[in-house]
Amino acid sequence: MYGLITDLERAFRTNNRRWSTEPSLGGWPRLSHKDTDTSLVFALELPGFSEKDVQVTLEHGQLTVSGKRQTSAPVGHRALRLERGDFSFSQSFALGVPVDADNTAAVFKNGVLTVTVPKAEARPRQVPITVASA
Amino acid sequence: MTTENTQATESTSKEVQPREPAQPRARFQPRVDVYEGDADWMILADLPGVQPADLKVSTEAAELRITAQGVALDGSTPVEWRRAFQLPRGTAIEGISALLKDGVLTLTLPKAAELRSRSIEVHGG
Repeated sequence: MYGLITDLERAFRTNNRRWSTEPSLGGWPRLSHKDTDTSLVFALELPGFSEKDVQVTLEHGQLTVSGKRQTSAPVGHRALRLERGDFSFSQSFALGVPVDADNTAAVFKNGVLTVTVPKAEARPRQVPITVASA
Repeated sequence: MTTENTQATESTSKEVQPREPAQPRARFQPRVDVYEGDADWMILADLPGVQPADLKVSTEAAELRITAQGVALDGSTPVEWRRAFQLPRGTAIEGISALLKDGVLTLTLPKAAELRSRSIEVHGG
């Protein structure tokens, strides 16, 4: 009897000592932003989120991404180990450049949200002038 | 950016550039939740950015391994996810199933029949 209980408690201990891994904890959600010639691209790791769990707003030159994930035990199951957890976040980014808000796109793929904000096209400064020969 | 040089004289005077060293891989360990039910155990693992084709789940002896190749958020740095678990005695290894959705892997590990809970009739003495 005691043997059985001990065995269950030991179950799912992780065997990672021989694999040197960087801890993935902290600073979650991981995010990155890229400034390209034509757009600003923001990417956030949001595993287990779906479209309805995330809000993306763009106003006053600021992009805000917020969301909430709730995890729950599958029906009829009890937790042995909980690392993922419930999570809510709100992250704002000052854009700093004029953007084309109407064409901003947000795409969810494999638990990664990518928001692409196109930069407003610079207005042509050169005005063609017809030079008449004297 | 490299340009092909067709002029022999110039190409001989050119120094041979060593190849850029291979980009270091980032290694991550997925966060997991482990649950137990009457008939199975379930492992949920966060693997953002991993596609089903790049995920491998395998068992060796009593060890369950999750390995996956992905790409970091910058879109270029290769990422390797790894985690291994000691399987509890009584796991029906041939019945393990895996589903990857929205960056979360769900593994279902059925218990061998003899481990499933059942109520035992109590007789009065």
